[in-house]
Amino acid sequence: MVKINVDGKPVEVEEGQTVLQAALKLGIYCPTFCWHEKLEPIGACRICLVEIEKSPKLAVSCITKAMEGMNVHVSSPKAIDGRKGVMEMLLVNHPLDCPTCDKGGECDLQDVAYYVKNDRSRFGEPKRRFLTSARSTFDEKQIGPLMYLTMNRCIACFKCVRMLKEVAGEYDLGAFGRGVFTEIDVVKDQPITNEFSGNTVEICPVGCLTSKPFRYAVRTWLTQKKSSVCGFCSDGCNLTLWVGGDKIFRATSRKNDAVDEGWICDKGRYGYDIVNHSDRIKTPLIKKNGKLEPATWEETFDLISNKIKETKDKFGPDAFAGIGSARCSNEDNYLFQKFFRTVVGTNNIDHRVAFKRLLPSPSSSSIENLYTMTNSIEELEKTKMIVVIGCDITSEHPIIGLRIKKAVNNYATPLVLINSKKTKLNAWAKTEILPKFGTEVALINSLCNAALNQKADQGFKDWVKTYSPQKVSEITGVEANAISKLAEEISSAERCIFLLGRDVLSHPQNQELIDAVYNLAHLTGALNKPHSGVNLLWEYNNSQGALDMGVLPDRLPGLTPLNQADYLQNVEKVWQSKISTKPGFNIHQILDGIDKGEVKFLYVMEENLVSNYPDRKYAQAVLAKAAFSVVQEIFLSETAQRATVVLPAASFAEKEGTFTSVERRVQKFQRGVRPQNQSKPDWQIISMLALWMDYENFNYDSTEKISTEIFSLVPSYLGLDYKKLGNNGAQWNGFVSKKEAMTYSLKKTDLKPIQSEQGYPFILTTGNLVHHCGTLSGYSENLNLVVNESFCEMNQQDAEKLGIKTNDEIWLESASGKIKTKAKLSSNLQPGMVFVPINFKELEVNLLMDKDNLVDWIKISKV
Amino acid sequence: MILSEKTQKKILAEKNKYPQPKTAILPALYAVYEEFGYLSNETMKETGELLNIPFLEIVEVASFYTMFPKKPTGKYFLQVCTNLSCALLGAEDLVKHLEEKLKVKTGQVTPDGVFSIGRVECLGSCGTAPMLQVNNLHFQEDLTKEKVDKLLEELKKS
Repeated sequence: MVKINVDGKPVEVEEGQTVLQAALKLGIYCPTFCWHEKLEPIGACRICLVEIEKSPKLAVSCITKAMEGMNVHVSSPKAIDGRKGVMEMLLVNHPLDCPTCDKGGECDLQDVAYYVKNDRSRFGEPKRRFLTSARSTFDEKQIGPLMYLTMNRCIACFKCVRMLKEVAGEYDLGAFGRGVFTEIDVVKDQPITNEFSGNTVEICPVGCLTSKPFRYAVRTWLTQKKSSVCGFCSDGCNLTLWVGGDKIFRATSRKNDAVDEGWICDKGRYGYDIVNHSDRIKTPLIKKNGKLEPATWEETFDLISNKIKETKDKFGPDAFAGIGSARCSNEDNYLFQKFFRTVVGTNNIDHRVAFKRLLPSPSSSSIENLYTMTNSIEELEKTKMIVVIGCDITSEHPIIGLRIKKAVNNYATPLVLINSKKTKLNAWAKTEILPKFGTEVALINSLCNAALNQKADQGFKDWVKTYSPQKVSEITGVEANAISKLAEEISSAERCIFLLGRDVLSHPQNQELIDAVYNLAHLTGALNKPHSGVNLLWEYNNSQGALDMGVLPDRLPGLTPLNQADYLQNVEKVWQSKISTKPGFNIHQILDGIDKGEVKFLYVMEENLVSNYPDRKYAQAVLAKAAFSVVQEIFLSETAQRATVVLPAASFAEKEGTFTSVERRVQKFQRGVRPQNQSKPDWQIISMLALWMDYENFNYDSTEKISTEIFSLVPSYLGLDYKKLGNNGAQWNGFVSKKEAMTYSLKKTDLKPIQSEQGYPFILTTGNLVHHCGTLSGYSENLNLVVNESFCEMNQQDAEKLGIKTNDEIWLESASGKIKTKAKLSSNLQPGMVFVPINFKELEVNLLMDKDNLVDWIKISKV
Repeated sequence: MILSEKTQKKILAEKNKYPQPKTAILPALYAVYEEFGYLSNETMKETGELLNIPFLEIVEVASFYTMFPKKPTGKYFLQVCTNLSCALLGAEDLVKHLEEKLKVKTGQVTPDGVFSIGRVECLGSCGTAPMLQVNNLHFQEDLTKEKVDKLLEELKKS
């Protein structure tokens, strides 16, 4: 520690910290432009000048290290005068266009100009201009689908370029030239489209970089700031929504160092416009004569409650089924399952719509059955090795990707990627392994074989020996040497975090693959070391919460089995109702039940069954057969169009509540705007419906009341306090915190080779694009400016054989269906594989899928 | 590759000299300049590939250093320093003189392809200002208009 004095006040800072940090620690304001707490200081703008005693010149505080005994003056006349001079120089070329500049009112340069109190300049020469055309007035230039550049205003702080290079590792914005003519620009007119580009707009201290959706929309002082949490992927980035009236004007980051460190991706930043989208469902709708007609809430509640009573009397509670949502809040999902378990009296509920082969319901009996992220995002910095299996991290979890990049850049953590396709993160990877699709289990078994030690018993040893590197090399297409080398690296790593993503969750052998990784983690000791472990990354903003809240056919809230007597008693007491202990139908059984006529009543809460279920034709057929279906939705989705009753639901920005992020972090979000049109928050709809049916214990007038019930009942959430969740949220740890002392028994996980299909040579894989998340973001006009067209990515050699070029129209055909799209050639995919994004409702990719075939085989032909 | 094998070898040798490949950008650009006389997007792209550095960073460095022309120059590229010391001793007049004499503007090449004029940032020869540099190689110092005329004659002859 170093002791220094700033403006006469003593302060202690760590060695290596700067004078500026010391001043900030004391709460002394010192203006800055080029300094950013998460970036390397460069001392470019020089506005942070301070006086240091015994130093001949004023010092740039952001790059001057604090040294023992320093006497620093931020507020001395000499320092103030120095900053005045710097400000005058900065304003030599800065245009005086504040009244027409979009940054006015939240501009650092403007604020500091007022702070230094110098409103006269001695420079009368014409100002520097970067002419964009002979007729330009403001010299603006669009440099990307969502970004504008007004170079005249730039004060060359380089924060934008530094952020992209240092944090995101993106090289599409640069600083060219020198001196006053330094120009920030894209290279060769290549538009800036990287997924973190919006952060540059947020940190720009002047109005040089502005975002297309927000510019000239509103002055910031006319808006209110609301604390929210992103409603797309599961990383749980904190957002600030800037709202005025019923409109959301923009979303910016709300720094949470444990999660996002103040950076957010462009999905979260620009995807907010789904809330104000004109296609939102405006009123409740009831199907009359095959057409959905507007109705009142009273009518719909009457209809639904009568139908529930009637169906229950006639067919019993098990004729009902409910589908919850990984997008809805904990409160919504909690009430949803409570409604089904008490009012209806069935366990036929599920939310895992997109998976052909369901993992067993998570259970807190042992760590490998918990199916969650057992580390935290922050721990990625503390571990000594990161192994990513089956996940395109930058697309699925951008902020976790950012943390991985930080670990690699700052701590030289080796990164291993095991994917069936090349991903964008490979520039950071030390090792990249590309096993053939479907052979991952063999690869991991082989790594176990190479890492064998006394932890394995003879039986396991004999079994795993059959997975020799040579044999597995033939199966997976990975060189035997590479397997042995990787096993050596993982075994010798002091700590190791495994991240398992979307491709593992939807893998034909998902459970075996997860168990195999647990075997490997156990053998290499990663299970019992700090900052190590196996992590399953769920996809959507509240996937984890929906599991935790018990939207599962065989789990009560808190992942507790239905038959755990002491907990059941407790729940029955709080809910004042008997609960059936008979496990209900899972998602596939629910659809089969409707198909067979056993399930008469279907209730879907914010889940687009038709486009997310891995067999579109079947889902459509089943919905047509359902005797009565209620769909609660934001947009009139393909599922809602087929419902008997449609209820307009509120999006994440129109309600409050809590989401549980991928790392089990329970985070509170505020309501941004009033629910649009006649929509209502999901929890409110359910509670009103139950009250309509005279269930008095559903009398919730706020989400806080529901949260309080959750936090006093659900084991893993016990002790959380809605009021105290604060800005950072809180992780539920319960069982996970004890994982280091856990015992684990090795499992034999045999490879089940996938069977090819005659005449259909390509394996279809799906996933999210960098700028989209699920089918919801397809409604965002902002995000559609970046990518609005679906495509089919395929291997170059495959395409050449078929005579297909990029942008050619092609047919994708499987035994179940046929769709048309454009081809995109790429060397990232292995031969025999294609990738189709799931984000565009125009491309009905699940039409190609068959729920009974774990692998989707297709053929491709030119149109 | 457009870069000759010799230049490629040179660039790779520079890369191996330093712990950070970024350090080799300038020497590599010199090698490219030596071969082509200017830096084009294509050659800079290839330099980036050889050094394993993003194209954008190569362009950034090249744009910072004014002595690298970005388009073809004349056989003799006359770069006049117009920084403080030279400017005080009449560098601007020299540029004007050159433009009149050669009948081309700064940044242009004479029709016969022999000369082109450029401005350059301080080359550290302030003691002998004003000065100009021919082809990144030869300093011409303590200049006057007469000396410039003489220089042009000599260069034309050779």
